[in-house]
Amino acid sequence: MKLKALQQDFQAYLLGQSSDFSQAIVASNHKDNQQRLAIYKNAYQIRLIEILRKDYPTINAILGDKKFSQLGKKYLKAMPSHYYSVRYFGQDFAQFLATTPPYQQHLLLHETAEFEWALGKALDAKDAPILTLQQLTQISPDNWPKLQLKFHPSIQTLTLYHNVNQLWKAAQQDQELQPPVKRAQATPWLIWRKGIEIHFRSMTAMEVYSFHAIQSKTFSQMCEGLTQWYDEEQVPVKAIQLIQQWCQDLLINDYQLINATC
Amino acid sequence: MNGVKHKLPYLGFGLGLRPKHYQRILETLPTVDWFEILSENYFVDGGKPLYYLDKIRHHYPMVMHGVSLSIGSTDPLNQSYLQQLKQLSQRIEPMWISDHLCWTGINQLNMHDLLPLPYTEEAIAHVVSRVQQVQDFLGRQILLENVSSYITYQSSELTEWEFLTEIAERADCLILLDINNIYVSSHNHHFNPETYLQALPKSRVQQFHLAGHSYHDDYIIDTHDAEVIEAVWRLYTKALQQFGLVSTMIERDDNIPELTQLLLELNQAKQFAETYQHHET
Ligand SMILES: [Fe+2]
Repeated sequence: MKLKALQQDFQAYLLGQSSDFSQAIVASNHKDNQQRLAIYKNAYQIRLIEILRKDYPTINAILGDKKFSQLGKKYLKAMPSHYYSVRYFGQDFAQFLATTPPYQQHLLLHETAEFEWALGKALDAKDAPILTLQQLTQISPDNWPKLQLKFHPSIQTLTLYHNVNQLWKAAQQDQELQPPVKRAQATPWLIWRKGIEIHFRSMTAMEVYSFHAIQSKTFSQMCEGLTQWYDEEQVPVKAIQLIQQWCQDLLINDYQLINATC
Repeated sequence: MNGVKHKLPYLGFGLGLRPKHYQRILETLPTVDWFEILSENYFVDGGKPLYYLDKIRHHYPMVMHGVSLSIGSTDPLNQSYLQQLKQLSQRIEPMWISDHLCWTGINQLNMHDLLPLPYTEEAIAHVVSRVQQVQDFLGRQILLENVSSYITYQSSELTEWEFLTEIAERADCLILLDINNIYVSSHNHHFNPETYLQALPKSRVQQFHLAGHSYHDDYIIDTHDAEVIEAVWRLYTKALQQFGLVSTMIERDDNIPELTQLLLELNQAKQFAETYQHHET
């Protein structure tokens, strides 16, 4: 058999598609044949399901090992790896959970997958310099209105109805999970890397607004919007406090001054 | 291959670099001659893996070992993979770069397994031309490792050792000999592992892998999750007799023990090599 046809057949066998591959190998009897082939099929499934389990330990804790393996098998069948690094195999897991019955009925699974994948993304995102408080204070007061900020590339934001953060912590410590809590309103979360360590915390609506405004607009435009939460005279102080907080959290990468356009 | 070929150095006794040991290695700077890294683990943009890689590289020589080159696949060589490999090699300047004599998938899919090739003239010609392309691109010779296998193809015309030798000679590449894989395959395919060793060209064997494995029914599976067993140590001493001192490392991918335990195992390898040297002189 020619190399390409052989590889087609072998891969089809691994993927669970119909294939004549069993006829391409030498075996002393039928059982021997089936066992030898099964080593490859099992190894393929186990290896990738274990990769998924490592990427999504909280989902594994929610479902238990056995159900997670069943889920992993379905995911593997639907989303075989196109990547040369297993690092990205689990990339479509949240999407899969959100669109595949019966999992799609459980928002918790989808939210947990998004959270855990975001942690991984923050962990090995690009390195970048951090703007220090000292650099920030050197910006002259006249220039502050024109200030636009650039944030660290490791930053991930998402919104969660469930207390995924608490479930995640319990799973990390191998504790039994408490029943999940679902809030009436979604909470925004911020995930990022400080140095080489991952951090996350929730954000207020005011912070979410500011976070977006200062990246796409300017400090003065951000302040205009803050009147939704504060009296006008309070706004500058609150805005500066927030930026200081970002700076201390090592969230800011750089700034530029934008000249207002009419 | 373009450029002048240099004989690669003897590195001594190394370990596979695993994230579990990053911190400990930096704190204690253990007596390890070199580390072998899994190249794909560092195909990321930044953060922890690259942070530790750079720090550890500062103290130790390294070699790069990949699993996704898929040199035997009938898909075209993956150019972006090769780019990343080259980029990483520019970053850490490894003593050499290795991957496996296998294929890992076709039709742009990756099975993430080291799948065996049929030992045919067609496969030899195919692999040889691809090794040459890779060596040209990287500007250096690569090492190909023998994989363990559980099946024999009807279409195979040669033995595994003939296949490996022929490719190494024709492509002018080097061999990373996994002693455990020879043992595993000899058990699964009922051949004498010493016959395998004796057939290989001494000048091309640049590195040894030692590893553990597990038994499943009638077959041995190359799981890299246990200590090196007695029979593999025996085969290692045969390999030393055959090839002389060759850079050796212990490969553990699963069920990874504390660093101190791996160091003990590495010492065992050193002792075997020393005994062998005494015999020789
Ligand atoms: Fe190996």
